[in-house]
Amino acid sequence: MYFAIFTELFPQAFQDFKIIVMKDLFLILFCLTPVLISGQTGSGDTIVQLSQVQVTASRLNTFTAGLKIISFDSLTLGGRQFSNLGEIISRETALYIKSYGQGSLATIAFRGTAATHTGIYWKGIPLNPSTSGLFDLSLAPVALFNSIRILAGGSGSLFGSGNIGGSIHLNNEPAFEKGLIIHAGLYGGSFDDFGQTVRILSSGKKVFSSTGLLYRISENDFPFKNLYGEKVKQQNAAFRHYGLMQDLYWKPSQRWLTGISVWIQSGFREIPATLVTGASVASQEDKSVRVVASLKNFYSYGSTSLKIAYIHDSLHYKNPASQIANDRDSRISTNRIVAELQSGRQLWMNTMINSGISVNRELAFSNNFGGKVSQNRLGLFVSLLQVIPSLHWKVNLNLRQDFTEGYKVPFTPALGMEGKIMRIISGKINLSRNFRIPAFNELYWRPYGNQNLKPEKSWNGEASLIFNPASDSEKKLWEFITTVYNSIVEDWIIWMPEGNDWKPQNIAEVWTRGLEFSGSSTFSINRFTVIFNESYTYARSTQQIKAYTNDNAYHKQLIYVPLHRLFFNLNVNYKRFILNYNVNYTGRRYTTSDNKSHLPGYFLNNLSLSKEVKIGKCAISVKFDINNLFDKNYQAIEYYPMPGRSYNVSVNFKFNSK
Amino acid sequence: MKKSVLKRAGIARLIITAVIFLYSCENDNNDPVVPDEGYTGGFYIVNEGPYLTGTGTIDFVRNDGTVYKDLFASANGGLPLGNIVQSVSIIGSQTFVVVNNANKVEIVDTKTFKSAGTIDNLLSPRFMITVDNENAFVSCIQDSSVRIINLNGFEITGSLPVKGPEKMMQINDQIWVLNQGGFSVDSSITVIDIASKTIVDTIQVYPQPSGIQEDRNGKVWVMCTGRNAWHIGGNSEGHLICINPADYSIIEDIEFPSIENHPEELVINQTKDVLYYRYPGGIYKFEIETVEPENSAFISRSSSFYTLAYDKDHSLILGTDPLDYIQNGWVFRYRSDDGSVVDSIEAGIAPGEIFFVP
Repeated sequence: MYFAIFTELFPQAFQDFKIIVMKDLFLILFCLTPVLISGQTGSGDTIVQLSQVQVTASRLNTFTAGLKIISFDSLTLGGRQFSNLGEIISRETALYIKSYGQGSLATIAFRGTAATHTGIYWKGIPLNPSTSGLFDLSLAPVALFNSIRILAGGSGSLFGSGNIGGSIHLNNEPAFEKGLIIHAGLYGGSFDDFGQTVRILSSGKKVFSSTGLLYRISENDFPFKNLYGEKVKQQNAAFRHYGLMQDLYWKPSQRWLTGISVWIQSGFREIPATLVTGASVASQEDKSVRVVASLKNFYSYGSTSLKIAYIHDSLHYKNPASQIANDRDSRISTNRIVAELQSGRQLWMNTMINSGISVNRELAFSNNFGGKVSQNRLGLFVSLLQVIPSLHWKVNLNLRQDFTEGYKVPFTPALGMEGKIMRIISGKINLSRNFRIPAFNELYWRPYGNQNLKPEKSWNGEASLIFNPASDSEKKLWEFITTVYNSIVEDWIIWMPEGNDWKPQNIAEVWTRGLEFSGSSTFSINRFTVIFNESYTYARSTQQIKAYTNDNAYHKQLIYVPLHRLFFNLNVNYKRFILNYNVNYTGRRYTTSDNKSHLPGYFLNNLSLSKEVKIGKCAISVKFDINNLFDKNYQAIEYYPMPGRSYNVSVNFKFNSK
Repeated sequence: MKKSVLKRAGIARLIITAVIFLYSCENDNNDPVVPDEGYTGGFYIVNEGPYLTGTGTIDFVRNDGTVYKDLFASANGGLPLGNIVQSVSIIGSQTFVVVNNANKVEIVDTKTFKSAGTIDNLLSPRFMITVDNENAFVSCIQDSSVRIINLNGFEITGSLPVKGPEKMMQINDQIWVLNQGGFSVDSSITVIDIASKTIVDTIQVYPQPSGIQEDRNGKVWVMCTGRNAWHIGGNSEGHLICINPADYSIIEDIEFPSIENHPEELVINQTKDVLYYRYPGGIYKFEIETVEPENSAFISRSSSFYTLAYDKDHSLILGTDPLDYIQNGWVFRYRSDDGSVVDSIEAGIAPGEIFFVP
């Protein structure tokens, strides 16, 4: 069925896919051969003490010592299943999401870096399209994933190009022998906002299947005050999102696991005018088909896995009012095929190694490029982890060398450590080298593309202190993490006038540094359980190069990078009633590079109440949300109107056969 | 021990939270500049504003050096003018501000800059030219038209088809419209008869006419930029031509030597015998009597100016520098006799036009 949908919706993609596969199959197989052979060598070492280290050797889980991982618990994910990735991050963390409004483009400025400096991964496969280099977070619905983890800090040594600020990892982990689980949800809210989701998980001893479906449609015609103080309705801002996710895993024995996952996402959005522009009739349609096939072999103290992925994205922009041909109707499509082979095993007592190879072929088509462009990339990586049980520390070294057609890419090492300092205090430290290769738009966009661009390069360092007074007890009561980070990004690409032309150039040097706090406490008073989370980020990001004599951007904060972000979340549980109070603060954002104009900071308050009823194997919950409780009038981006107070209700049904 | 650590840490956490809250409650403090008299004896700087997301502004520089920033917002309670403020024209007590990406012309009171209405439904308006108290013409690039506006009711009374119109100039009893072609290329000048409001002729020139001036002999000089590399046909050389308005014949045709370097714009001095234009390397000078382009820049500068202007009262050449287009740009003033720099004035974002007020 998927195949039929796939070929019907994306004939061009299918064609490209065939071409790519035929052309590169041989190359891929050839490259993978040495790893395949080396991965198969068994080991007889007996290690007991390494139990805390997962033998599955996922790079994200195991080889990220010294880095901070933010993940959402099932309660948060369940409560936000009609949100997209951008919305959940801006609501539930202190990270900054630059969003043009509900259903509109949303990107992340992680630790004061650019949107292209955060890699988005699905099952370890990079999703950032090679054209723009940035992933639109509004096109990833939360409901399709059971795990969303955000890795803060440079992770180029693990995942390659584009992970200077951080990386976001979306996953659906298979879980066997759980029987049948059905989730169904219905959602309705202000401004003709409507959504539905169904998720069916079924697993036995050897087979796991998960099917997720989501759609959300909204007129998004919220009222706002225009420049003259008149209350008007937002025009041309509707959006429709459809998502389908199918995972199928087969585990014939304890030694083998194979699976295939398909994610089809389609999004249509109208692009509204701003307060200072004339009426808009523009719209955009995004379609994606992503397929990952994986094969994993477990053996004594190790495993080898092979992944092959095909990612197709297309963007169709239409603006019937425009005179410019490329603006009136513009299509961009990208295809990527990734093959990755990695092998991880315990070398000896308390030591793990993981090594692998990743082959990536990108193909993009756009009338702005004047046709097709392509790029081949190869990555070789090795990671070492040493656990020192007597000290409760672990040390982790990652090395990666990428090879990209047409570029010299820096060697990217990383060294991380983490462990206990005192009884209730532990620490983390990490130092890494990272880079980003220029995106196709920067290279080939006619007439401005600049094929002489070099990759952006950075050194990242960070250290964290973790206070965990109750770590020895079963129930985590209190945790408080403080992180400081520092990074310098050289050859940062910006679009600058050169003569009468605009050209992306390796001009900027940006110094990002900052401070992050996050705390969480859980306590019980009588029959009330209270969970309180707070986090704060201070992100200073300044331009370190004086590009012109009169340049007032020198040593100034980058535009749309707030110095302060703050978030509080209070959950009160009583007899399956959950009251949630959420406060978000986004600080001043400069709108000009000389920092002479800015948008004021704003607080957003959100309140929700839910109640769950259990009937046998079923559970039904009803949730009522009030967003922007105090009807705050604010602008996230200059002159883009935002909705005031809004309401939504969702009903969720869950069936669990076990 | 554990309890006291917890308690102390708890207090510290509360304090930190409170401090962050207080510190984060940032104040917005915009002191409006209130002019004590009308904006006369000086020039407006028309700042386009940040592309796509922001508003343009208009500043006024009085001859005594006083700079009034963002006149429109100051006079109208912080109201933004709109996205991409392109140009200004004045007729008596009314000033017209053409706001390209807001598809409107904002009408303001010349003395106070208070908003007095808008002319809407113009598609990407670029320039407005007023010919008398009754009629104005607006070049609109998106639908390739020149719209005729009745100034009594601010109604669009007519539309004339042109080809990607930009600058216009009144030559005798005609309006000459430079057709740059919008986002393709055009090589013509449309001649509109003011009285009948009809197109009377189209003069074929070279690709992308970008500047027009009338000299002391009543002849019309037009700067043709030439095609750029990305246009169909690729680069073509620029031409400075002189047209006799009596019969539209080209009486002078100066060809620029390089096809990659494009001359742009044209301003003229007070005696109407010296032209200045932008060209890679700076501002170049051209004397109409010698009819010989100079090989080196009169005012040399590595980065290009965004627009030029000539201050006839003070014999100064003005050039604007938008820097990165997302910070305040600058207006540089040079003496027209020796090309030496006089001063520089901080403008708004992307200063794209200078308009003199006597």
